[in-house]
This record gives sequence, structure tokens and C-alpha cells, in this order.
Amino acid sequence: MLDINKPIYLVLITGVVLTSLLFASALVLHIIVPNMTEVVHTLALIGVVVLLLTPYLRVAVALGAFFYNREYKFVILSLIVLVMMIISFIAGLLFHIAP
Amino acid sequence: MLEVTSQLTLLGLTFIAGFIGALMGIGGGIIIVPALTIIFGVPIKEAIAISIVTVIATSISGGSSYVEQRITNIRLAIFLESSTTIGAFIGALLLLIVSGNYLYVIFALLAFYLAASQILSVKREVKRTESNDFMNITQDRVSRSLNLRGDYFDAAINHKVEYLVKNSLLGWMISFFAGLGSALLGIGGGVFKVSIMNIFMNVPLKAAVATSKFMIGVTAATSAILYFVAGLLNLEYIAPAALGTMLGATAGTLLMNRIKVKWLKVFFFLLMCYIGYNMLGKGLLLLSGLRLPLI
Repeated sequence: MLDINKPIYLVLITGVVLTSLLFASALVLHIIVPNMTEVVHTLALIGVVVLLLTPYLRVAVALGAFFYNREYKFVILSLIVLVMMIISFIAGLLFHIAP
Repeated sequence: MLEVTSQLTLLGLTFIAGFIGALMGIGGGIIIVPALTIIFGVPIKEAIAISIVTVIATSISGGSSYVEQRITNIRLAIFLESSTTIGAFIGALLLLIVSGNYLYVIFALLAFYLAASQILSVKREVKRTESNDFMNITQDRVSRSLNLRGDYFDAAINHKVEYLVKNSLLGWMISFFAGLGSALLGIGGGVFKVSIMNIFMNVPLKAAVATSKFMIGVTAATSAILYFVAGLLNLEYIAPAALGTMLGATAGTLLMNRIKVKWLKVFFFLLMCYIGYNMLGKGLLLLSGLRLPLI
């Protein structure tokens, strides 16, 4: 049996380390070198994309881990969460919900 | 581009929001949105967009730390996420047809009810935590079938606390409404998630805080993408805001397990009163034009 905590921790901590490195370098660059607005914004932009994708990846990895452990009830629950996340996103774009 | 001093001020403010958010399992929008609009003069929609991104930041940094400390109940989180995400989706669709205004009063009442339950259950929770009494209940069928149970090491009292989950279907339903409400009212729902688990489902407060922290990133990610695509995400503020909340959340998670559960309960009581009062104020203003004094 795979310990479900491990792969999920790995996804989360990778997301944390990557995004904090990106945001920290954006911040430091902005303080040390003014007038590099574009680079700073690009770094922040990549950070945001990584940040937004981490929860999706976290659910997908949980799904895989439960599948590996043959806990099919939790495979279905994770699948519901992932599908709802994707449907909400698509519906939001189609109907211009939220903002 | 934002001044360096403003960036550092924002970093400090979001650090505090992240810290408190980690202690209580909430997103921290309740601090970040007013800070951005009042101190930095950011338009409300942009402030909400930034706040939602910081909710993901605090959820993954605080969440990872609690998973590492083995306080988070991942199975329970996924069980409840399955209803929260459905609720949030239906809420977002409903928003196209109806306004959520009347919901403010309902959620205000729920907040007051949960505030009262928190303060009234302090003694009982302390006693049950110390005597490891959370196993002495009958699990319902769903909880048994999904094996919803957990344990964590409580650093404040130096022993392991084990628990069984009860009322899982009720919790699943309320979690659905919490998702619905968070989509309609824009409240993150972390406080409601913690209280649902703690008050109704027999989950010790610290495990509920860690599990809620873990969960809130999922609904936030969906709405954050929509704000991002709509171009409402102001990149000037993101780096200091996200970094600040992540650092604050990490610091908060290192402290949370050492705090006596009694104090966490009292913080929750105060927070729920504040949220209840604010929502009641908004609801009454929208429904009848009555203005409550601000606090």
C-alpha cells in the first residue's frame, strides 16, 4: 500500500518551492534593478501559472495514488472533484461567470 | 511599477494574513481584501482576484506543512471536496439568474450558531482531546465504508489523538451549501469547513484546521483561473502578496499544533462572531436598507 501522504506532499512542496523562488526573484529583481518591469512581470506570471496548476495536479495525483492502492471509492471521489474543477472552469469561460 | 516600500508593506501584511490563515485553516481574504482596497486603493474586483490567488498560495504552503506533520485527513478532504466543488459550480451558475443577497442573512445566522457552538464546546473538546475520547462514537455507514478516521500527534499535550468521523452525509450536504455560498457570496468558506468538521463530524479542531487548509486551494484554483483569464489579475501585487502569505502560512503551521486547543476555540468564536456580524450587516443593508454600525 502506497502512503497517500507522500505523493501529495511531493506535489504540494514542489509547487511551494517553485512559486516562492519565482516570486522571490521577481521581488528581489524589482528592488535591485528598477526598470526591468517586463522581466519582473514575466517571472510573476510564470509563478501564477504554476500556482494555479498545483491544486489540479494535487487532485490528479491523489486520483492516481488511490487507483494504485485499489481504493476505487476514492478514485471516484477524486474523479468527481477533478471533473467538477474542469467543468467549472469551462462553464466559467463560456458563461463569463465570476468576474 | 509599485514602490519598493509598498511592496514590502504588502509582504508584511500578507505575512500576517497567511499566519492567521494557517492557525485557523482559513484563506485570509478577510484580511487581504480590506488591506488592498483601503491601504493600496486597489479596485475591489482586482483585490478579490489577488486574494483568491493568495488563498491557493496559503493552501499549498500551509497544506504541505500540515501533510508533512500528518495532521491533515486527506481522505476526509477528498470526500468533502466532492460536494464543495459541486456546490460551488451550481452556485456560480445560480449567480447568473439570482442574486445571493438573501443568503447573507442565512450564512450570518449559521456563523452565529457556529460561534456559539465553538464557545460552548471548549471544555468538552479540551477534555476529549486530553483523554483521547474521539473514538467513543458510532460511525455511520458511509464513514465506515470509506474508513473515514484519522489521528494526529498533539504537540500541546504531547500525545496522539485518534478520531472516527460521524454524520458524514450531513457533513457532505453542509459542505455542498458552503461551496454554494462561497460561489454566491465570494466568502472563502474556510471557517465554515473547519466548523462543519469540528462541530458536526467529530473531527478534533486541529485536524479540522489542517484539513480545511488543504481543501480551500481546490475551489480557489477554479475561480482564480477565471479572474486570470479575464485579465483582472494585477501582476504588480502578486509576487509580494503570494510570497508573504506563503511565508506567513509556513510560520503559522509551525505554531498551530503547539497552541492549546482551548485558545484556538476562543479565536474561532471571535472570528465567527465578526464574520456573522459583517454578513448580517451586508444582508440587512441589501434587503432593507438598514445600516449596522461598522466594527
